[in-house]
Amino acid sequence: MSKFDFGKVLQIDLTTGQYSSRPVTEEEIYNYMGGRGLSAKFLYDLTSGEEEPLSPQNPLIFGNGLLTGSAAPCSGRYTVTAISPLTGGFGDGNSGGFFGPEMRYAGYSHIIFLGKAEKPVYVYIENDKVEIRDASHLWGKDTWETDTFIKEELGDLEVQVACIGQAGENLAKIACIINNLTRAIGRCGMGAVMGSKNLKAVAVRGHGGVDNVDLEKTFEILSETRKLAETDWSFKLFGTHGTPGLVDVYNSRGVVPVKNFQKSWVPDGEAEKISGDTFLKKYSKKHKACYNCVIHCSHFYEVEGSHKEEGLEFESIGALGPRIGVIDYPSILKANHLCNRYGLDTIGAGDVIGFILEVYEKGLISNEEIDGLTLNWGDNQLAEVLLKKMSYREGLGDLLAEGSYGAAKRIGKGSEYFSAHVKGQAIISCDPRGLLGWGLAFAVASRGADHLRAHPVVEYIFTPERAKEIWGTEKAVDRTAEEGKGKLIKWCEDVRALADCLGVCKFFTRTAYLLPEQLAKLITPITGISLEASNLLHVGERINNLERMFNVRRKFDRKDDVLPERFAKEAIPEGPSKGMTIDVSNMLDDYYEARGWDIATGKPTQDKLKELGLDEL
Amino acid sequence: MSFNVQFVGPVKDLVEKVVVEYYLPTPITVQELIDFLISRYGTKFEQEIYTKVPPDNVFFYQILINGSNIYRFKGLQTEINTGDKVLISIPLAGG
Amino acid sequence: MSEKYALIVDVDKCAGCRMCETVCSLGHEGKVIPSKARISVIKDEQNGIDFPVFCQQCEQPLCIEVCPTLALTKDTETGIVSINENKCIGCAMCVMACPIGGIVVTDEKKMKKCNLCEGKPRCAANCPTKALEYLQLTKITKQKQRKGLGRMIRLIGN
Repeated sequence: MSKFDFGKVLQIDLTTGQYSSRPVTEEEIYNYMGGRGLSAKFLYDLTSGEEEPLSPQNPLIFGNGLLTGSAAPCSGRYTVTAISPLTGGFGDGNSGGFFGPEMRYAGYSHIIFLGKAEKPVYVYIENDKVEIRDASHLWGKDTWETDTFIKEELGDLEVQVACIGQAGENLAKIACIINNLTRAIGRCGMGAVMGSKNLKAVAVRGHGGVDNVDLEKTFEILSETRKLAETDWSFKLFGTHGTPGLVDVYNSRGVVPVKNFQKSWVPDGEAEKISGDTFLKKYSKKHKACYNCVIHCSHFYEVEGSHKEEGLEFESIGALGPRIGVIDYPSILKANHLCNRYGLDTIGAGDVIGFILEVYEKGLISNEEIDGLTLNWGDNQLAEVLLKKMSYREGLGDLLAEGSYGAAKRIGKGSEYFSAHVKGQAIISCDPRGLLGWGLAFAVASRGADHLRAHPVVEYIFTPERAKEIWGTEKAVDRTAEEGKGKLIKWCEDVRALADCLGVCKFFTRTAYLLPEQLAKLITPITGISLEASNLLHVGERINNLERMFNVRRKFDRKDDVLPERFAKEAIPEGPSKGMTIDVSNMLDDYYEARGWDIATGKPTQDKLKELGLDEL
Repeated sequence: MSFNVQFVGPVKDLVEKVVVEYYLPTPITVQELIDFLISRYGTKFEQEIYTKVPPDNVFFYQILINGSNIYRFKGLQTEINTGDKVLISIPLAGG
Repeated sequence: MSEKYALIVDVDKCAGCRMCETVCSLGHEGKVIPSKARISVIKDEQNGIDFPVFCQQCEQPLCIEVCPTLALTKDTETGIVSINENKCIGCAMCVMACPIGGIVVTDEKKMKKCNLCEGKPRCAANCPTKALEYLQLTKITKQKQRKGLGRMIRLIGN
């Protein structure tokens, strides 16, 4: 019996205004660990499979990881889970900054919002005190204004705020939730779910703390981690450039989408304009970090005469840059800033802009339907105009707010072909035709096109010998081979789920703390819980199966685990990955077999569910 | 005979520019190219290019010829020919 | 005569991670509890300002002057100003007198302050960017001057 307090689960009914809390149980921790895993369990139990994502029946669950706010390095992550309005299936988003830790200091592991408030409200939580406050004066404000207003109103600048902007208020399906001004619960349209509940913001303030069982060992870990920050390649790469450093890396493999995936390579001279080096030299002022982080991958940057903020992510450069034909930092950075303020997922926003540009280019929509705008690739001012429209659902914006697949369904005329989505969610700016393992990962992820469920970086850093040892074939680490990818992705999904359950950053757990045995060494000194690597893998597997069963209940099956037809039909036309295509069907068989799921339907078998203690599902 | 080498990652700061054209007798093996680069750019380059990654101590830098990893061919003994595009780069690392 | 040290901050390097608060409270309270840390990172997120605030171990501490029970004392050798918890009556006059908020008052009305971890400040030891440093007094000015000069030379050079 450890003396570690796991925190409470707070449930708030926005319809009635009632709330109650109870401690997280040890059983919940041992079976689901916390964070994303425990939120998945709550979401499953609170729904039946029939609920509409934007209805009051969709629960919205804020979930801290087991280690969020603790002494563990890089432990500022929290998750928001709900049925996704974009995919209709399991949805969640994950963010850093300082909101999660503050929620934990207030005493909470998870906060579940049910129902819908009659009028716009925000919820203020200070330790045991819970207040549902009027937010009608905040409705219509962007996330930055909301953050400032709430802090002033409460007379406390140390309050942490997670809020939606106009995009979430107007139920844009690609709306996100923002904390600390630029940290996003980005994917799956969680901002729209929050908006559908008339919940403008959640503000937390906590004066408590997080226990620590073995002080000496914990300080040792912190000391080791500091040394890693100087020697580990991953820590160093992200510590200097942050993810913008990936522009060169991906472009050198020819997998950066240009003009909505018509091409996948930015010619070298051009690529330099949007490289990590250029961002660092021209715009970055200093490093920024999330809670307790040794990597400080973020920056505070300024565009002279325009704006300044914390940032910048590779995905935003990709989505608001080459994907829409723009190779210009001031334009990309301005668009990024607007997405933060309006509360839009940069990936979803860039994706739908690229989509509409191509659809217009191909003559599938008329000038009247696009509000008489001129839609051109490489128009540096276009994103600004369209981001505002989609946040207010104005004119063309009403279509764009649906995301590219939602928009395609409304337009019809074969436009679906041009939507780069899986299950309705936008694919990131990494062309899967050049990265087979990643392509499979996108196709099978529970929350639609997603790279973070599997995040198979080991495809590049494990030896062929180790690949053979773990996955039975050396080809698993060959980026152009299909063999062994199923087993690779299954393993990666199970392992990577652990970071989400613990609330630690995936950049921290990419190398030195990737493997379950390494994670166990982090968990024990802090919480007193002793877990074998096999237990941890089991938890990861359980969570992936639980999310899968959630989707099965929502009527998803094998036919939804598919990449856009375009990627099988059209080869990458130029650059280092020229000639490559991808079709996941063969790899899917391998993946389902590795998972113990039915090959025809992709449904977990009864035996597999029993093995994981999920047979009541 | 000439071929291009593109450098991506910290190693690029140790050479004169991102893409360098080398005039060398071809075919030349990848190992021979590395030896040549070390003789040209010195010990800092040598330390950087031979960086190993735990847990398996694989080479940090990946070498691709015309888009394909040399492990698909003969590893360090793979031959580079005239007109080839060689990429020496840090691994792909997430989105 | 032992050397005196001081804890100083390089503002440009603070990334705002708040690990100083974590390790401070961990070391002194046995758990992570920033509200009881003796160091606190003050932020202005819109302008990218992050600055850790902590007791400056003043040479003429105002907190000592107002303390009615002599609970606060300054060690002549190390310069560290400490609170004797047995003598402290919780009047909070020190909190009011300190010009920078170096004395922390907790929700239980206990006064806490930085005592430089008795010579091995954990915050400086763990700071990921070395924004916080524990330096000999005689080294501080030169380091600052060289850095400032370095910046000026770069500007002139361009």
